[in-house]
Amino acid sequence: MIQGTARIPIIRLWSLLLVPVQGELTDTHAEQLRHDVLAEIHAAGSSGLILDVTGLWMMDSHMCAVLTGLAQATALMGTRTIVCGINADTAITIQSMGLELRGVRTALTLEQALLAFGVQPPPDGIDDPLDEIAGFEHST
Amino acid sequence: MNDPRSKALAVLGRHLSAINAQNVLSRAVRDARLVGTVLTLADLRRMQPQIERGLRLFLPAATVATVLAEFDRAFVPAGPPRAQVFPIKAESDVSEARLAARGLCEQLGARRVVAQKASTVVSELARNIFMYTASGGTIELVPTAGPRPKLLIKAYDEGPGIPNLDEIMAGRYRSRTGLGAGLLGAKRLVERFEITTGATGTRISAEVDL
Ligand SMILES: Nc1ncnc2c1ncn2[C@@H]1O[C@H](COP(=O)(O)OP(=O)(O)OP(=O)(O)O)[C@@H](O)[C@H]1O
Ligand SMILES: [Mg+2]
Repeated sequence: MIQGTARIPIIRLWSLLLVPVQGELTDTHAEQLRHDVLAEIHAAGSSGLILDVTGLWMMDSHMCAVLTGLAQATALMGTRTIVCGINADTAITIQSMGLELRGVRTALTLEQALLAFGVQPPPDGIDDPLDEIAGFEHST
Repeated sequence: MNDPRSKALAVLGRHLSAINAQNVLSRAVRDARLVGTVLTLADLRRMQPQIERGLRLFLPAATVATVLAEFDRAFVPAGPPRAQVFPIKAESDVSEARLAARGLCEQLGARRVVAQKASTVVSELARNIFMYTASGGTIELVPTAGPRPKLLIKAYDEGPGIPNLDEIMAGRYRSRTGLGAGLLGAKRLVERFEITTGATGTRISAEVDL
């Protein structure tokens, strides 16, 4: 299920919420997002929030404040937040500035964030749909 | 292909068959006594008269002029990027200024992480103008090309000034509006950082080695 602001979708994954933060996030969008996420947590009783920032090309101190603010608000409701997808350039920049995402857990990738919330990966050797296509050869 | 020879053939090929384009180029190379050398951009610029002679064999004068103009555009090295000025009044001006900073850094050949740092500085200074001044202000980006490329970032406004600057730069400040780490963080990202502030406004000048 997808809902939320026009720009930033809020995706329900079982009892989790996944928000792919992307593009130029204005204050109005950030405020709307905060409102929608908190309302969704309240309504659905979500057990965790994942903020995937893979789609942000940079994070200044304002963006860090927006994300930590959201994480702190969800914490008040008893819901943990994990931020994932901070790329190397962004990490170096944030670190050089002496910024910190206080009270926010981070994970390298979306997969690791899901694992941290106890989502299990599919078992190995699951059918590859391409195997079903007659004559398709895997290149090695 | 982006080497000078293929680029020249591409320009010629817009107006001539592939064979004739080859023909014009090799003839010009011969006439300019450059046979057997790897053509550089400078060679191609010097070969203009020979190329023009070849083109006249195949094309009317007006078209020859067009082709030569295209040649000019393709082979005159792009001039060094110019300084850019951004009035900062709305939030979208902040995005525009930091995107322009990234573009300038890329043009000057900066590594991605350096471009990101410079853009972040612009973002911090521009956002402060947007947030803390009623009348807005200006971001100016002054690139220096060459063997040691640099980006000079200037931010100025006629806002209320920053009375507690010392406290902020010492890291003892607790912001009510943000993390309170924008100015100090920006300073840590650059090689040179100067700030003058008072009741008539704030002027910041920051320089990044690219
Ligand atoms: N151009 C300016 N004019 C007037 N006051 C300013 C200006 N820039 C900054 N300030 C003041 O200096 C303080 C510190 O600025 P700084 O950018 O370091 O942190 P912040 O804006 O409060 O938070 P952050 O940048 O981390 O989101 C601001 O809170 C504001 O009071
Ligand atoms: Mg600031």
